Amino acid sequence: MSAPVLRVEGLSKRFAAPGGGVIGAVNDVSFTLAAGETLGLVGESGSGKSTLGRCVLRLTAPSEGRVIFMGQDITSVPEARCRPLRANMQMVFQDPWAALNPRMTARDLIEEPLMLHTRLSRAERRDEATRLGLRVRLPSAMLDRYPSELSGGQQQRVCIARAIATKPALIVLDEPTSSLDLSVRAGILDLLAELKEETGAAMLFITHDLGTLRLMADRVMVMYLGRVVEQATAAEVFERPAHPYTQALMSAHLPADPAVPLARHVLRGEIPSPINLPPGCGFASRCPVAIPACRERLPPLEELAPGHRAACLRVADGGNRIPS
Amino acid sequence: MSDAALPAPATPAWTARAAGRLAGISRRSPTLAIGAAIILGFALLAVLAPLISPESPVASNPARVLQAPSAANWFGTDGNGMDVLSRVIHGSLYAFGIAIPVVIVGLLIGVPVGLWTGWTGGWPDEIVMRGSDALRVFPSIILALAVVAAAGPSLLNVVLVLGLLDAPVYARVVRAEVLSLRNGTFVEAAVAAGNPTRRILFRHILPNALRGATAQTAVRAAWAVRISATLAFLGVGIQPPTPEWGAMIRQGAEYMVTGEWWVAVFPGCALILLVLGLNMLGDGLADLLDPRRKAATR
Ligand SMILES: Nc1ncnc2c1ncn2[C@@H]1O[C@H](COP(=O)(O)OP(=O)(O)O)[C@@H](O)[C@H]1O
Ligand code: SF4
Ligand SMILES: [Mg+2]
Repeated sequence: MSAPVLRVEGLSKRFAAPGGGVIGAVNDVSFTLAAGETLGLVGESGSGKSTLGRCVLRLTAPSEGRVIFMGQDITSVPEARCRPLRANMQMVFQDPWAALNPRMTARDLIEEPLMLHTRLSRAERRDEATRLGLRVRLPSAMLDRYPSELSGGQQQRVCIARAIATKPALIVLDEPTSSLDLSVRAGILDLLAELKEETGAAMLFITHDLGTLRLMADRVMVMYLGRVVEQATAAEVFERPAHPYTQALMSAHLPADPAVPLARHVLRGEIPSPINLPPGCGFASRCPVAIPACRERLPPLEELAPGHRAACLRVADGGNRIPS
Repeated sequence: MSDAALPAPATPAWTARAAGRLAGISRRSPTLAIGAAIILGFALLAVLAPLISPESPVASNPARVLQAPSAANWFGTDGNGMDVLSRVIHGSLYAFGIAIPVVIVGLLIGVPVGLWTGWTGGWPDEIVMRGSDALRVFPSIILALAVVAAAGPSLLNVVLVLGLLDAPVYARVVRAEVLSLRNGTFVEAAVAAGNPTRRILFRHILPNALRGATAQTAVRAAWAVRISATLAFLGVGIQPPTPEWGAMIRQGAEYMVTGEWWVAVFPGCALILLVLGLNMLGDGLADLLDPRRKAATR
C-alpha cells in the first residue's frame, strides 16, 4: 500500500458562538485518504462538513489535531509555506457564482493556478487554459466571458477547470452540484466522475445527495454534529448501514433538493444546536433505538468489520437496527 | 494607415452599440444624462477657452471699467475693465484644474488606506478610522482655511489640502467593501488557489472594492469646486486677477450694492451650474453602480 495522500488525526475545530459558548463544529475526526480514492462525506447541513474541508486545506486553522498532507504535517505551517503545496490541493466550492472573481474572465480564472504554480509561458498558459476549458466542455469562445455572462453550470465548469489545472493530488469538492439547477447537475456529475478516473486525484467529496455518493464515492464517512458516526466502503454503507443515523439517511430516499431536510421520513425532532453540546451520543435526542446510557457515554467509533466503523452503543447488543 | 482598413467594417456597429447604450443609460437615468451634459459643456469651454473666449481674461482696460453687458462685452466688464465673459470661460479651466487633481489626490491617498485598513483590521484600522472621524466632524472649510492660510495660497497647496481632507471619504467606502469581500468565497477561493496576499489584495479585492469610491468621485469633485471657490472668495485661495470664479465673485461682491451686478452674478451662475451638474452626475452614477439603491428609490 502506498502512503496516503491525506491523513487527518483527531481534528477538532471550535468557534466562539455569537452569544457566548462554544460551537464544536468538528470534533475529533480522523481518517485517511489514499491516492486516487474518493471519500464521500455526508451529513445534514451544519454537521461540520465544510469546516472539515476547510481545515484539511488549511483555509482555516484547526483547534486540535493534525493534518498530514503527502507526508508533511501542515497543521501549523504558516500560509506562505503552504502556498506551494496548494498546487497539489485544490477546492471546488458549493456556489460557483460566489467563488469566481466577477472581474476576471473565465480564461484569467483558469490560467491563474497555472500562473501561480507553473513556469509556463504566457502562450503556453493560454493553450493549456483552452485545453482545460475543452476538457470541462467549455468551448473556447466561452473563455473570454466574465462569470456574469455564464450559466451556473458553466461557472462550475470554470471552477472545476481551475481545480484540475495544476494536476493536484487532492481535490476537496464541497457540494459542487447543490447550488445548480437540476437540469445541469447530471452533466457536472458525469464530468466529475470522468475526471476522477482520468486525473487519479484523491477526492474529498462533500454531498447531500445519496445518488451522487453512489456514483462517486469509494468510501463514505457520515458526520453528525461534528463527529464521524460511520465510516465504511460505499457498498457497505448502502447495504449494511450500522449507525441508526445512517440507516435513517438510507431509508429516506433522499430528495435531490437540499432544502428538504435529510431523512425527513424517519427522523423526528430537530438536529440539536452544536453550541455547548451535552455529553453522550449526539444523536440521542432523535434516535429511535436510544437507551438511557446513550445520554451519558460518548459512543466510540469502533470497528465492526474490516474497514467498517460505527459510533453507536447499541451495535454491541445488536439493537442498532431501526425496525422497519 | 493600411491596417486601419481591417477594423473599419466593425466601427459603425461599434458606434451604433455605444450610442444605443448611451441612449439606454439616459433613459434609465435622466439625472445622469443632464449632469453629464452640463459637465461636458463646461469641459468643452475649458478646453476651447483660448479659442472661443473673445479676449484675454486678464486684459485690463481702464477705458471701459464696470460696463454693463452689451453687444461688445456680453457679460459686461469688471473693475479692471476685463471682459467678464472671457473670465467666466477661463474660470471653467480653473474649476476642472482644481476638482480633477483634488479627486485624484483623494483617491491616491484614500483607496490604499481603505484597502489596507479593511484587510488588516485591528489597531491600524482603529487609528485611521478614529482619525478620519475627527477630520469629518471638523468643518472642512475651517480646516482648509487654516491650512491654506498657513501653507500659502497657491493652486498646488489648495489641491493638496483639499485632496487630503477628502481622502477619508474614499478610505471609508473602500474599507467597507474590503471588509465584506475579505471573508467572501472568491477571496477564500483565491487563497485556496495559492495566491500570495499581494495578488489577493490587488487582483481580487481592489477591483471589486472601487464601486463606492467611483460613485463618490463626481460628488466629491462638486465639493472641491465649491470649497476651492469659497477659499478664493474668502481671499485665501487663488488670488485675483486669476480668472477663478470664487475670486471673481469676491471682487464682484463689492459692486453688488452699487448696482454693477454682472461682475459677481455671471461667475456665480457658472459655479452653481457646474456644482449642480457634478452632483447630478454623482447621483446618477450612484444609482447606476448600485442596483440596490436604484431599486429602493423607484
Ligand atoms: N466561521 C464560523 N464562525 C462561527 N461558526 C461557524 C463558522 N463556520 C461554521 N460555523 C458553524 O459550524 C457548524 C458547522 O458548519 P459547516 O461546517 O458549514 O457545516 P456543513 O458544511 O456540514 O453544513 C455550524 O453550526 C456553523 O454555524
Ligand atoms: S449511541 Fe444510542 S443514541 Fe446514539 S445512535 Fe446509538 S443507539 Fe442511538
Ligand atoms: Mg457546507
